Amino acid sequence: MFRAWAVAERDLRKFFRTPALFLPGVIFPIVHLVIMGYSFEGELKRLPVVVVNQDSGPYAVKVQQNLSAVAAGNKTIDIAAEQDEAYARKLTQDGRYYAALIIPPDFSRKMTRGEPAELGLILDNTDAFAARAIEAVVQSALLGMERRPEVKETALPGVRVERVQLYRKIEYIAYLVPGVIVMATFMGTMISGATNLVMDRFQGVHESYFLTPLTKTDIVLGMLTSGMITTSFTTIVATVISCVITGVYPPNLRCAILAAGLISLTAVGLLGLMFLAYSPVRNPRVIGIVGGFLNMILYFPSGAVYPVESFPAWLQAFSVIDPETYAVHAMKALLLRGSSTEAVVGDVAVVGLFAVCSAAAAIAAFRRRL
Amino acid sequence: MDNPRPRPQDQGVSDAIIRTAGITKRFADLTAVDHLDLEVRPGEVFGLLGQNGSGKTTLIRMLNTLLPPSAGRAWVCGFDVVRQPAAVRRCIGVVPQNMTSDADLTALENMDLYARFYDVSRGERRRLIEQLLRQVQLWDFRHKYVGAFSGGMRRRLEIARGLIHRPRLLILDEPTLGLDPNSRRNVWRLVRTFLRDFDLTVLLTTHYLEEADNLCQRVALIDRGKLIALGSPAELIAGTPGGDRIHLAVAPGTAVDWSFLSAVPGVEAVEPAGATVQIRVSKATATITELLKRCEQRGVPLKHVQIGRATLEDAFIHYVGHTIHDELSGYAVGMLEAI
Repeated sequence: MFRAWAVAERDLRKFFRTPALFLPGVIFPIVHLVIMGYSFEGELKRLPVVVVNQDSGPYAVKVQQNLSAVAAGNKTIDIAAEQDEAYARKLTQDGRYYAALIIPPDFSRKMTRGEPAELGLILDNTDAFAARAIEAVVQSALLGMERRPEVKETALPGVRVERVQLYRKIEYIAYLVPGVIVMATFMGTMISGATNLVMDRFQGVHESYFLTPLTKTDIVLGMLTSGMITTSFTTIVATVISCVITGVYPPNLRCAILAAGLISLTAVGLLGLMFLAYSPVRNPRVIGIVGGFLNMILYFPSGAVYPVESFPAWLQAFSVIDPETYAVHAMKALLLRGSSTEAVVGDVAVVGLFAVCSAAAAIAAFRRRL
Repeated sequence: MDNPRPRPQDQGVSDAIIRTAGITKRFADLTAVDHLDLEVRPGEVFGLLGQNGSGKTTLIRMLNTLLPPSAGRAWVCGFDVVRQPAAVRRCIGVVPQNMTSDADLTALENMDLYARFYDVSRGERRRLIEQLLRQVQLWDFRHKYVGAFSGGMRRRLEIARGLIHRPRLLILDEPTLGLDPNSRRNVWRLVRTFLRDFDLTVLLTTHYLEEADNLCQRVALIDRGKLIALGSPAELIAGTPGGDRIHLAVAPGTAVDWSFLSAVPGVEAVEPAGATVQIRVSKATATITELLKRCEQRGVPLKHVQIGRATLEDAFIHYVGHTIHDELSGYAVGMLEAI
């Protein structure tokens, strides 16, 4: 470890003496945030919504039927059912569903009597696009009831959807922040990991390493350590700037610490991936080409700019194996929803496993010979 | 992890610091090093002399564990380069042909970094770094970034860096390539100083004949990956026929048929080149009078006469068959491409 730290220290000294190395890692994601945040609109698909039906009456059944019909038509939502309202609310808070529709026990009775009836709609409004789309679908399902002659006059004028905003309003630009943080992590690993690896090899630094007692584990661990530190540094700077621009801040210290840890873990995983991708590369000109390709295939399917559920099936399948999907999902939970630690454990575990596997593969793939 | 106390593997009865037995390196169809047998003795400066692309650097890279041999074996400090690479690396200091000191670090940081790679303790590091930087006259520049150094300063730093763990063998691969004459002489002076102050053996590759003549106790002439001749510079020169050289010159543009000089007793070869001729003789003092007399009889208007001894370059031409500065042969070009 002593020798690995010497390798890391050398990279760190070089990095912090050359601002031109870390500025792109901060500036590029911020430019992306501003441009995408103010320009992008789109249509959403297959947003998961949970329905808690506490009423067995005909109007409750009708609401569900209409909702299912709308869901089958434009496929904006996917419907699941739960019995317990508190549990449905928790699942929504943990990010498993974008909304929970509560049909109260007296809904059909009030509708029959012509009294004002209420449906509860609990929206995860950290995703403004998804929240607006779900609300529109629910309203459209109720419009379907208006065309039924037997209930038209009595029921509908009194039906009101009570919106329960779980969080303060989140603009799209703020919704992009978690993805931009992961993109900044990627950029940091490209600058510190890929560039170091290829340039050091190209300039003969590796040759001079190979002439010493350094093992390949020393060399790769040293580069991973320095890459993790520099990437975490640039990403945290990019995060702070993003927060200032969008006004979205971590809800509490726990979320901030967890987010920082997640950045470091993601950095290790992506660094390992970079080392594998760049292991055959000898020409520094290739750095940008490979990096651009990797960024595209990891960033866009991750749900950073668009909910994963709205992708076609093949892209959804890819997003399942995309490690950035889990990093973005956990980052959204921590920064936008302030979710419990328990809610992000699964995502963090996947990112951690990715980090361990890619670091081990990077060490195994590193050739300690010319 | 490295074995902390590796034991030398049997290299026969030899106590050589380097020993190779039929070592060979092939790159696809090209044989870069071809069944080479060498022994380098402790305490000597041993030179590998050959054209660019003759196989010197490939041999060095096999000895310093960067490249695995295709066939044959080699031992460095008694350790097998294939089976005990970690022990070999601890025993050698290498100054590669390309400058590999870090331009973004200071001289002190470069030295400290490499000392840590060799697990040199903090106190020992401080002492050794100061001693070495003073010896290479860079102590006053220790806090300067290496990127601001001249080529000569960087080379001196890299030689000091190569000694930071007190190796038994220092390998210098073309240490003065691209340096001006003054810097080159500085490097030679340093090598002699370190040889005196450290218990050191030096393996040097060069294609500068003057460098080999100045520094090396023994020289191996390498061509096309093969060992052509081996001996001290004096032995190699002595083995060259026509050990003395007489140069005659007429005014430029004067046509002279020099072939009549071949009949003079003691002349071994006549090599005309325009208005000048080089005559190889066994003993110049015994032949010069007769040569001048014959020229006068023929009416050759001599403008210049010079007597010299054979050089290492003459020896190289004699043994290898071409000068060391000839244009790269197709073989050498293929070699460089293969590497």
